[in-house]
Amino acid sequence: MMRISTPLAICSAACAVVASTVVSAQVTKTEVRTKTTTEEPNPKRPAAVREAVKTEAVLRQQMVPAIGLRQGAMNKAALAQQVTQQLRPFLRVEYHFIRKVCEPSPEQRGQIARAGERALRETAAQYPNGNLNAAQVIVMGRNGMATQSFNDPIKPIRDGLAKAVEQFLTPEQAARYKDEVKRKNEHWKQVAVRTIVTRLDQDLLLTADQRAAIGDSLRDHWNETWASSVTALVNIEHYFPPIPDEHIMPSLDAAQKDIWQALQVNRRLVRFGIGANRLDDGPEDQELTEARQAEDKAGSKE
Amino acid sequence: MNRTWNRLLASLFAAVLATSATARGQAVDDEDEPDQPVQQLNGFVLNDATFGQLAFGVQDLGSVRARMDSYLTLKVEDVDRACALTAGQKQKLKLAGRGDIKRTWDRVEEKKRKYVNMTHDQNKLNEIAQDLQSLRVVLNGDPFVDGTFFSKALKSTLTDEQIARYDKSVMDKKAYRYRAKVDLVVATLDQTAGFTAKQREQLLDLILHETKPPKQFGPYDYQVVMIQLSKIAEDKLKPIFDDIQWAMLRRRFDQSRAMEAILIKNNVLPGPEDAAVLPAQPAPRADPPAVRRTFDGK
Repeated sequence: MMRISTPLAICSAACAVVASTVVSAQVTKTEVRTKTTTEEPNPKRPAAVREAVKTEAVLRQQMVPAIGLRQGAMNKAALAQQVTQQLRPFLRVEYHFIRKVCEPSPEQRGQIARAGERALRETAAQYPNGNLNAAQVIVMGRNGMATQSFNDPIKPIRDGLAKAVEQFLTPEQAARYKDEVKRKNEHWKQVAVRTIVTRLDQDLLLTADQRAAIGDSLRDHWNETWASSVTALVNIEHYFPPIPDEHIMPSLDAAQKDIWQALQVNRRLVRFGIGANRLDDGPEDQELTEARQAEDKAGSKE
Repeated sequence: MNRTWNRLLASLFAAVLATSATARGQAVDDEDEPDQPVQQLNGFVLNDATFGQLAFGVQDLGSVRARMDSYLTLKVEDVDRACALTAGQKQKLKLAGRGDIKRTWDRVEEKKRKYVNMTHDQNKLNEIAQDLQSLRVVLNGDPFVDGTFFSKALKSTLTDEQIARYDKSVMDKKAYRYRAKVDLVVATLDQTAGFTAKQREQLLDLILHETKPPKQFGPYDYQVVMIQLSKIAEDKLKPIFDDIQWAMLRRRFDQSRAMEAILIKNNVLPGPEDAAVLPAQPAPRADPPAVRRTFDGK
């Protein structure tokens, strides 16, 4: 009886598992590791028992991949959740910025929040291994010899919100937003140029004229990868961006040039994260909470 | 087991390095892995390279010395550009600077004798890093600041007119550098709280009026701004932000205070005797006009 009840119990468990993993069909085969050992029927056993053992073996074969599928799906969900949590503070800041600048109506706020939540989830889905390091910014040595990779995970969220601003807000509100974003970008460039010039000044003791000349050259030939994040600028003490010499050398005197060239040996390949851990998970606007819940609900229906 | 221990020690080593410098927790160096402290029974041994890494962030101590020498050359030229030095004055300043370098290097050698090729308790790495922090400040900042032979030689060698010219050039440089750090702090907080342009300008203006540059520039400049900012009277600071922003920023300010003891220990926090970049403003401004400061003529 025990021999028969065990496979039955496994059978019912397996059925439940199989049924519940239908939704996990998108999990790729490579994620599923199956154990395919089968038990050979023993001819000395009674027919009913042999049949039960055979059934158990078949069910076990079905069940193991099903469990693998389920675990894969759960892991994927957990990893997506992890990335979402890391990026959520950025959404809050960007959403709050829109609220502040555009003063949207309650209805508009709901629409923007929902669009932001979708953008957040779509962005998180681009990092299926749960590792935002894939989005890291590569900053190379001072001479700009190496190439860089620039993949900002915040950008798609900003873009999604900007699109929603265009779609749901009045032209006047959208213009205000655009103007603020433009001024924010200009400020960032100014901050970056000053920080870079200051770093050079620290090593090379520049004159006021040299500071101005190098600052102008950097502004005129600005490349946003030179200062891709706040983290990169905060760490400029240790890792200098790969700015071509042509924007620096012409402004230096002979002694400074010698020192600048000597400093070139301290090249580094450094990765900076997006700085997610530098953001506090502050209070959430009600519309964002509602948008999150609405997307959760929509997701569970799918 | 050995491999596991080495990894743990390397991680600890990296963590100490990361926390000993300016907010560099997220930097990951892919190129040259620093030499790892050598494991001994119940402890580790620092060699010259790991000592250099811990003290200065570089493994080659010779390059540190060379950098100080070349910095002295630049320093004398910097003074010369501002004051038009005579050959004799240049010579005196160089001599004084070499004295400072020797004094600094004597300290390095003293610390090396204390730590290199000695077995240290595995729990003492952080303590050693703290002890070596003062060396890092000397190297990353200006090794010829007040109190050095060089600064004394400046006062005794230069004429009053030359000193006035040089002081002005130093003040301009200080103002530029401090403005850059304040800008960076504002940009960081902007990322946390999403400021409007008007808020950025108000905050920048307030910081420049209410805080002072560090006693000496170096790896803690950012924290020096943050700590002073966190101490600005709430009735001046809070009106710039809305409630949600204020809640987020307050947390950042509270966190920044954790660094205060280290800054005091390294003598970089400005005191009442130090000059501000701009005079303090007496009253909170509910809706001040947008102001752009122009230290660098921009």
